[in-house]
Amino acid sequence: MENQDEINSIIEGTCRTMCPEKEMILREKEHLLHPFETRLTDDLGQGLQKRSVADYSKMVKEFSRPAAGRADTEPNCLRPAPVLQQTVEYLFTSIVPKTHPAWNIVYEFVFDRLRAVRQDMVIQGITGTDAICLLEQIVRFHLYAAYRLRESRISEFDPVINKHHLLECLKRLLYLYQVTPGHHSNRVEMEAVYLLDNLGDVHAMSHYLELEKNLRRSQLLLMSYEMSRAFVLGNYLHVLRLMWNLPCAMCLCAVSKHLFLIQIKFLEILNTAFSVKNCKFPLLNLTKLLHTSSDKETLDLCLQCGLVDMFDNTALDCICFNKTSFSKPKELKGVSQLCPLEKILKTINVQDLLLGPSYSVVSHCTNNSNVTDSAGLKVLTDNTQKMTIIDNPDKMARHATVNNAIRCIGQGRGISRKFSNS
Amino acid sequence: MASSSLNSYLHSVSEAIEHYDSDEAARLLSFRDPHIASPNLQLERADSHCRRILKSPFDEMVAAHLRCCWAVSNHDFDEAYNCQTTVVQCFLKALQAQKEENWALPVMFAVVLDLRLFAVNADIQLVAKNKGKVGEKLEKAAELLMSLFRVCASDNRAAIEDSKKWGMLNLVNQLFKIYFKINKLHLCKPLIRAIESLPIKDKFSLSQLITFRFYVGRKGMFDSNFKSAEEYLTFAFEKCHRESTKNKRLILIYLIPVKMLLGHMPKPSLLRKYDLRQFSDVAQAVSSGNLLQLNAALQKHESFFIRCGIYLILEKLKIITYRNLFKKVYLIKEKNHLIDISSFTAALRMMEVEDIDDDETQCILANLIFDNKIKGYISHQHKKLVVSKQNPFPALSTVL
Repeated sequence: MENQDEINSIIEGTCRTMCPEKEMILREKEHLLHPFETRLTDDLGQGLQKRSVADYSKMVKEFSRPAAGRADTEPNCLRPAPVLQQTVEYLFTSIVPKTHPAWNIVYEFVFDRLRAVRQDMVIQGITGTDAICLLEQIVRFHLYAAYRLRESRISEFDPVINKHHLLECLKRLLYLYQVTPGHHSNRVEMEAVYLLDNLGDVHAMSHYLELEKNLRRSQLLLMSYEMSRAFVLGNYLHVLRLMWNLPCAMCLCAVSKHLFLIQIKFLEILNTAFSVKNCKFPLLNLTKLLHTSSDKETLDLCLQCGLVDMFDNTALDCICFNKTSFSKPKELKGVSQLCPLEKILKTINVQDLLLGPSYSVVSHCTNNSNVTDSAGLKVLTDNTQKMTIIDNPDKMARHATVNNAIRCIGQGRGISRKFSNS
Repeated sequence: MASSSLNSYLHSVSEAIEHYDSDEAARLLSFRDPHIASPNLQLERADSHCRRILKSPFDEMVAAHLRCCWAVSNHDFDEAYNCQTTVVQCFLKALQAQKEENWALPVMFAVVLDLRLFAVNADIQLVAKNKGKVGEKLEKAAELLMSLFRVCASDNRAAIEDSKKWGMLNLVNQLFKIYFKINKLHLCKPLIRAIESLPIKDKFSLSQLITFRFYVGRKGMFDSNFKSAEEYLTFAFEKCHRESTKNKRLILIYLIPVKMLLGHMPKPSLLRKYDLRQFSDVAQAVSSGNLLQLNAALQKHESFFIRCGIYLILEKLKIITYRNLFKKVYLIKEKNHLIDISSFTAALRMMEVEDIDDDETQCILANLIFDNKIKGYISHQHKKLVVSKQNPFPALSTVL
């Protein structure tokens, strides 16, 4: 710890751009530019030279592994907190919203650049509210990406690696909340995310129990803990019902990956308990219980678990439960969309979601009209000047969109359930 | 001894080492002995004195020990921890040099115990001064203990009576204490396996065996291996000396929840004897199927249960409470084997389970059937639970 303090006092980055000058020159020379970092106008957009024309205003520092003998700590290669903040903002407002047909390209780019942001943070020992804000945003990105890319093939998106980085940031973040004095407006949300991402996990639940009482009593956290507890006790209907009432997009992203598993386990239990000769369980009721999005999906689920005979399922409206016929699906994939989350996502644009409810955008980008072409190589032309330093720290009015959207949905869904304090 | 001079102290140490008198050597290096209170021995720098009388690496070891006495007298536990680290490192060197002999093990037990205790105190002190992270020094101490453990565990050549393997269990127990404190239970697994595969695993001293089984039992409990947890904790409880009430109580704090989960409720007299009345409301609530009382009891003693790390386990008692509640409904219905789902819902509503409806009741019932805690099935058409005519609610100990 003391060593760390020493380093803190010594290194402070002086780089004022998203990418250190040295790296810009090197990467341009060596043709190591990402398409998102090149200058591509319509008249120039053909031929092989494409990649070689760098747009310095769009270049972002790449992540590179620390290695012996490498000068990681040169101040002019490190970005101080405000520049890091601007970098994240640029990534979220100009890169993430791209409607690239293969969004995993966008993911990979942003993931790598955010990793470099974290690296700069660590080397400079940035802590406190600066670090909290950055980490919150990075956490949100990983959560959102995991949901958005849930159906991708493993070669395009690796959920394990994503989860690993998510947890690393999240744990660091939760630690910083503990040691940084002051009120942290997004703490409840992030603590809830930790619980839900690790639904039913002993460590996550013990962590919750160790929080101070006031925090524990907040509605969102009570709800998340209740979900964890119901999950442990196997009361899956209760979990699903609560899930459908969750008012927070990030919480829903976090919990979404458990949905399929919950549905399968629930189906297994129902199958055993209702198992009787000539059992006829209406598909409609089952859909209601499992919270699947349609009868067709329910049927598909039953099919995967071996509860439906593939050859006579035409116009089936009942399921015959039978203890002996259940088999767990081999592939635990097929997560469909999570209805309550889709609803929230429709009311809010991605950058507001990722930047966070209390974040005031310094150089807010309102321009979404420059749509990318089919290859996704065309870049928004309008953000180019924005990435210089903030000269005016006077921040713009708060973006209430996120808060409002969440509030509306919260009321719309009607969170009727009260929680016991235990 | 309390005011002994440096010279006579050093000579006693030297003599003890030369005569392989490990108990005496251990005493002279332990902080449980009054010699540490002697101002003559609280020395910041005694290296040259020690070098004159003792051979390497014992000279450095004793010098570090004396410096440690000095640090403790100044209440500087960070420094004390650092000194004790040096002591243990020197001891490690000495231990590695001793082939086919294990006389020094009692010394190891003494210095290792102090190392752990200083690490605990150093952490507290550093965190209070905002200079360190929780558990930082303890983690370092664990690393050092592991290097001792490796020396002991790899001593394959010596005959069993001279083997350093006899030191393994003591080290493992110290490591358990650390891992439980810093919440790194997953690190216990390889240690447990190392001990369980030893031919001498049952021949260690009883006190060491009890400590070992206590921690393995607790680990089993957290991994939801309740049957084996019960076995280990029961051994610890029964063999623990009847005079050490404090330890027996500590064991009970974990044994009682495990027993309850397996369907055995503690007797009021036992709870009274060991001052564990916190459990009595819980036990009563569970056996009578009173969810409301269970919630109240958990809430009332929340901080105690959380501090002991059993809160999450106790919450699992809800399942058994449901079972007992439903059994009551069945008895009220005069053991009719067809029972309306709505009767169960009504019972749950009485227990103030919020927003309960027949669907959720069915879900709870389905779970109990799935776990074999209720024998029967749910008929969807008739909205009834159909229970087996024989033994519809089998004893919990038979189904887990």
